[in-house]
This record gives sequence, structure tokens and C-alpha cells, in this order.
Amino acid sequence: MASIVLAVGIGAVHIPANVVAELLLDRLPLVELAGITPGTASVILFDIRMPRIALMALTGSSLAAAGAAYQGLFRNPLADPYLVGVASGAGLGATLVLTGRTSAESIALNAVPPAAFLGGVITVVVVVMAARVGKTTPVTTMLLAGVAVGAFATAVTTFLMLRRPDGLQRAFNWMLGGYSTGGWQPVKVMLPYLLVGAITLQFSARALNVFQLGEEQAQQLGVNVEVMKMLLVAAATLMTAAAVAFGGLIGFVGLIVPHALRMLCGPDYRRLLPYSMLGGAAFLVLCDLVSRTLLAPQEIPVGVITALTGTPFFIFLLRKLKISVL
Amino acid sequence: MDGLLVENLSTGYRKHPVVTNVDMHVNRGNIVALVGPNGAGKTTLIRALTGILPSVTGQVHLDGVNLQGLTSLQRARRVAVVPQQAFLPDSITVTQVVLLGRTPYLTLWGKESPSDCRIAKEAMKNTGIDSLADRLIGDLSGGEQQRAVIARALAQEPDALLLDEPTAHLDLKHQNSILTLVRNLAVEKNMAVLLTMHDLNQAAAYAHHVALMVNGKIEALGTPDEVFTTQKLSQAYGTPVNVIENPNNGAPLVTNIGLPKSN
Repeated sequence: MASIVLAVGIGAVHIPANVVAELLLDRLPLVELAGITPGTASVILFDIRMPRIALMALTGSSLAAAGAAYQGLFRNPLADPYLVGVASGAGLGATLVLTGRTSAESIALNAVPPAAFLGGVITVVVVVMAARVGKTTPVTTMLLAGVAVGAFATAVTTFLMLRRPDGLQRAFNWMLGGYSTGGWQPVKVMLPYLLVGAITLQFSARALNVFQLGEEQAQQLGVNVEVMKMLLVAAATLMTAAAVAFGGLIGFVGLIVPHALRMLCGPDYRRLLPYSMLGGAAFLVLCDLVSRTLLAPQEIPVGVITALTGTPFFIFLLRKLKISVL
Repeated sequence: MDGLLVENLSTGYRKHPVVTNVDMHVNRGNIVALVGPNGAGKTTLIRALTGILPSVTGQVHLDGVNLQGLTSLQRARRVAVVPQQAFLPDSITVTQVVLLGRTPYLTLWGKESPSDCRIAKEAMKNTGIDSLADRLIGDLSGGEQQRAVIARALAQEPDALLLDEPTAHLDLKHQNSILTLVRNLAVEKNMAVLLTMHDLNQAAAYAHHVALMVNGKIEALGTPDEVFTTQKLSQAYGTPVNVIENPNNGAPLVTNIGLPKSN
């Protein structure tokens, strides 16, 4: 919460804290402050800055929750939300649109998020189908299929970019940090995916705990392993694909935030998942704040900031707590 | 019929049969030790009994209930398994490990009730690890970890307990204490217990019955006296052994003939 309020106030155009407070209070029902004139500050606050912060918060919680879920499902501390192909698929989807022949600039921009979303989801479906052995989908096979299909999608992306160099810059920009404009629309689109995903994951949290004993044990403890696996991959994919569609490929959040919180609050997924969502939101909002103020008015891609700040913090935690990661 | 009843069970991996036409019976309150050479199909049989491997033919009943007709959730309330190699995350406490045994009884949300906690506590007491309740599982010795895994299985409140080589990697003292524990639990909780093991003398000392498995078939099933004969074991293992009487308790004592003593 603190990071959100802080981030609302600081930006390329400075808005004093008392003005922020007055404007926020004014928007609350039953509060009528005298002498408030809706002006530039109000527009920047409500139509540019707040939607962006909300989007960053949603993106951060989606990535962190999906990362935590994958680390549990694959029992692999290196797992992140992009593991089974969402990232490369979304990249391919976005590049297809951005290097497309026909589209005018504006149409292309509007088409990027849905294309990236679809690209991510389709790639994961392909990976899961490729990894199926009989009636089961072993996680190791899924991991390998994810790497293979991901490499293929990345190759196609590179090929497309080289053929249409004018789309290259735009595709690259999207990958590094998505789009910063768009008002409240992306937030409204993304929220349902986050909610559905988060609720599904929370109901699967107990199963994730049992998964830590291995799949065979999980089944012997009554967990329907294959159904659970598909449910988890589906929820994590929807959340990640929606996050990537608007935010681009932001790294480290989904890897580091769950680990940091695991070290701080233990490995029980029933607590770890909600904490990861809060932590991911706060972390990304802060990183975004740094990214747009450090060299203001120029923006640094938020992915650069997450890596620059997240990694030292993570190493600090690792050394301080010295608790094994999984 | 009470207990675990296996009839004409065949199973394997990818149409390659590993276990063929197995018939056996484990009474409630009894321990049956499944012995046999490496690759005989002991672990495969355990996996088939727990529904991890689908069976090709045959039936498994527990107290008259067909286990193959149950969902994994329903089965987990009746049959608990102690695996050969349990994956245990290092950084969770013994209590948390044992509470995972309550999984088949929890609702979707997964919050344990006070009665779940009471049952877990009872299971830790039964296995003698109540003093370790708050320790991290990764910090315990092999024998203590095995007790925690058995406690987790007990928390499932099973009617049948299957253990796959529960004494592997343990020293003699801990083998004895684990097997004594399992034997006492079988009697006290009136569970049907099936365990696989390699040490024939331990099997003879602790099991009510032994089943000798060779090449996917049960070659002999009976008391240790009936099954552990020089002829049967030499043939089953394909190496000469000599069965004598254990001077301590009169049970069969399987001795390896091996090489002549060298000085």
C-alpha cells in the first residue's frame, strides 16, 4: 500500500503529497473538499498514473503467483512463469502483429495484447500436448517440451523481425516493457484473469504442498495429480499471458518474489501464494516507480530495474537466512 | 473377507508384464513381508496395489471393497503408503509433514481442523517422534525421517499400510526399532500391513507371513518356516544359501554360503 501511494505521487510531473491526498480524498464518496479544482494534476493522477500503477500491481501479482505455483508444481527452484513457453509464444504473437504487412500503426498497437495473449496460451497448449504420454503429462517432459517449443517460437520471432526491420524496434520495445499508455482499459481486461487465476491457485494451494512429496506420493494421498497439474498450468498460463500481453516480458518478478517470501514466511503454499501476490505487486510498483523517475522524463524498461534491484536483494536474503530454497 | 485380498493381479509397464497372476492375502493385524530378488516385481506390485499403475487383470479388495473402483481420494482414506524413497522438502517441520497425511480428509480450502491436528499429534506419539514435532524434517536422521513418514501414513487412518523397503539405508538398531514399531502398529491399529524387504532374517523375525516373489510371480506364501527353506531360497535367488535354526528365537536363519573362510 505504501509503495502505491508513494508511486502515485512521484512521476515525471511532480505532484505534491498534500495535493495527492486532497485529490484522493475528494474522490471518496461522502467527502466534499472545498476549493478543489480538477486540473492537470487530477488528470495525470487518475487517468495516467493510477491506471499504470494498478496495471503494474496486477502484473506483479500475476507473475509472482504463477512463479510460486510453477516452482511448487515442477519442484524446481529455477522455475518461473515463463517456463512452459508463455513468454516465447507471446513474443511470437506480438511480433506477428507488429511486423504484419497490412496493419496501420494504431490497429497494430491495439492488436498486440490479444495477439500476445493468444500466442502465449496456444504455445502452452502445444507444449502440454507434446508432453503427453498416454493419460499422464510428466512434469519433466513438460519442462523439456517447453524448452523445445519455446526455442522454436523464438526462432520464428527472430526470423520475422529480420524480415521486417521496421517492426523490430517496436517488437523489442514491447518485449522490454509493454506499453505504458492505455488508461484504465488494460486494468479492466486483466483483472478477471488475475481473479480467476488467483482463486484457482488458492484452492490448489493444499495440493501444491502435497506435490512437494513427489507426484506418486501426492496421488497416494488422494490428490488427483493429473487434473491438478492441468488446473495449475491453466491458471498460471492465463495469469502470465494476460500480464505479458500488456506488460511485456518482465523478468525476475516471478522467480525472485516467491523465493524471497518463501524464505520470510515459510513454504506453505496456502500462505505463500497470497503473500507472493502482495509482494509481487509492491515490488513491481516500486520498480516501475524507479524506472520512470531515475532518468525522467526518459523511461528505463521496468525489466531492467527488476533485475538490477531484485538480484542483489535476493542474494542478500539468501546469505542472511541460509535456509534451503526448497 | 477382512484384510487385503489380491486375486490374479497382473500389471506392468507399457504392455511389458512385470507382475503376473498374483494371489495373496494380508489379514488385518498381520504383517506380510514380500521378499525376492531384485527386479522380481515387489515395488511394481506395491504400485499396482495403490493404483499408481493400472492393473491388466485381477482384483484387489480391502475388507470386501474393490480398491480399483475407488478414486484416489477414497483410496487414500483406506490405504497408506510409505515409499522406498520419500521426497521431503527440507524446510518444513515434522508436524507439517505429518499433517499432509490428513490430505484425503480436507476440504477444498485445505484448512486443518483441531481434530486433524489431534490425529497428527497422536500419530507422532505412536511413532515416538512427538519430541521432534517442531524440528525441520531436513535436520533429522534417516531413522527419524522414516518415523515421520510412517507417522504421516498413520495420519491417513488407513486400514492397510504398504511399506516399500522401510529399512533400507538404516543401521541394525534402527531397522529393529522401525520393524518393531510397524509390528506393534499392525496389531494395535488392526491394520493389514504389507512390506517389501531384502533382509530375509529380518523378515523371518518380524513378519507373520512371508511371500516369496520371483519373476513377477508369488512362488511361495506362508509362515517363514514354510517358505524359507534351503531349497526354495537357493532356487529363487539363484545362489546357494543354507537355512539353519536361529539359536536366539528358533526362527529360520538364512546364511549365505559364499567363499570359504580365508585367513
